[in-house]
Amino acid sequence: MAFRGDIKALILGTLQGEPLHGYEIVRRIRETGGAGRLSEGQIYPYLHDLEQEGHLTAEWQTDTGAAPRRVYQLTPAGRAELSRHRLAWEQFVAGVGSLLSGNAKTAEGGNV
Amino acid sequence: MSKLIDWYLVELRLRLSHSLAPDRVDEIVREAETHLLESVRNRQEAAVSEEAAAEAAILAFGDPGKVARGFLKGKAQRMLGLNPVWWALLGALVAVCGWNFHWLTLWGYFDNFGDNWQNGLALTATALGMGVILIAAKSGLRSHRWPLTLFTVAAAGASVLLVSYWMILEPRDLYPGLAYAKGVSRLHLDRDAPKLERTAKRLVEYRSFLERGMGEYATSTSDAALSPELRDARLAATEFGVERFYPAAVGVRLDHGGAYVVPRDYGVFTEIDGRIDLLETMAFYSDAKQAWATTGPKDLDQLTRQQQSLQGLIGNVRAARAGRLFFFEPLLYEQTLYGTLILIPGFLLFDLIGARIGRPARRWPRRALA
Repeated sequence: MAFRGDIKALILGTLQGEPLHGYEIVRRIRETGGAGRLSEGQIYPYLHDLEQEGHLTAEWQTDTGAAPRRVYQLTPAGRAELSRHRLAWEQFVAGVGSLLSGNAKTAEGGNV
Repeated sequence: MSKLIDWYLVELRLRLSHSLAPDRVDEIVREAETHLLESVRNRQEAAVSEEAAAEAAILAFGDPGKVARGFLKGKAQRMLGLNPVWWALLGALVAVCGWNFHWLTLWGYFDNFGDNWQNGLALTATALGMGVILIAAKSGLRSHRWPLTLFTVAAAGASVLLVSYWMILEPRDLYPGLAYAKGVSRLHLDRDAPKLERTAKRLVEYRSFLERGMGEYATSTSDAALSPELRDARLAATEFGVERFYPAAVGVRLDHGGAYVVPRDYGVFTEIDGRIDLLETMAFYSDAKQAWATTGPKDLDQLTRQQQSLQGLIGNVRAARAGRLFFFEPLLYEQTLYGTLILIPGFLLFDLIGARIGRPARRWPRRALA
């Protein structure tokens, strides 16, 4: 199922473990299916937005012997933003989960 | 590197280069290049040819226009602090107003027939409006064809209401087929209403003169039997408060000269401001007698219709002063309706030229990348 999530949250989540270059970030996000119908190239503007917002830093890595790559890394502000996204997601999942599992409160007396 | 990748990067650069700083464009294009090359490499590992891999990588990366729009979001072009589309619409508004004023003036809906500086100014405003449309497209790096078209169609519709409110015309049934009509502006009701009343009185005087002339010439055998004002144009001109009777401006007998007053061969012409062209002169009694016999009844008929028309206009002016809002007259609003719609091709042409000028010329991929 193609479900387009919050691309910025997905990018932040992808980078929480290690710094990554654009191609790898895009590949991982597309593997999750969270990019929806966005093409690979359309994810880059979100990366640049996050960089301009101070949630990511980026620098060209040229000393690896391979072709130069622009590597992105979370900043402390980016980690805080990721925590905020994670909390919102957990609340959403918990809410939806409780509804789907049938544990949600029902109206007292059954009169709605 | 595959030629396909080259072309893709050039297309991406072209779409970014007028809106973002060169360093930023370089960085975006370089990053896209890195991504595409890595994507090609990975696909080639699966034993795909370079060209096929490049094609697949580009397809996955997406349409360069859509990718560029992602980077340009929230970075719209500005022209003197405004989105250029607003300038384009302002230019269209000025052009529509100038163009319609020009033609309405030429058709005689104002106090003159467009033979003054205001008419030239209106045409100049139209040209300037067109220029603004071109510059807006150039500055915005894009065509504004849809906003311009929709705006102009809306303006054409609005012009029907506007002119039907603004202009109060004479009744049209007296002159079926005539391409113009007399009218007064609602803004000048207080000024023009007394003028109309005065003109109506003068038409009565002219009518009396015409009837007298026809009667005297019909029974006379020489000019001795004529009233002095029929024999001496200066006397008659003084009676009507004009310097002299001008001959017909159009026609073969441009200036007959002489002192015999005769009905105007070119017909009766009345203007809102009180000018009445009805009489002219001839040098010989025999010619004058002939003119009164042939032109007199014709001019009398025209005079009658002009009097009825003027009375109708006076009635409309009274209705407007009493609160009537609209005087829908196809002869008038069709001019602004079609006159405005006809501007659309011109707007689109200027818009297209502006957008074309704004876009950079295509360059060879390797030079562009270098």
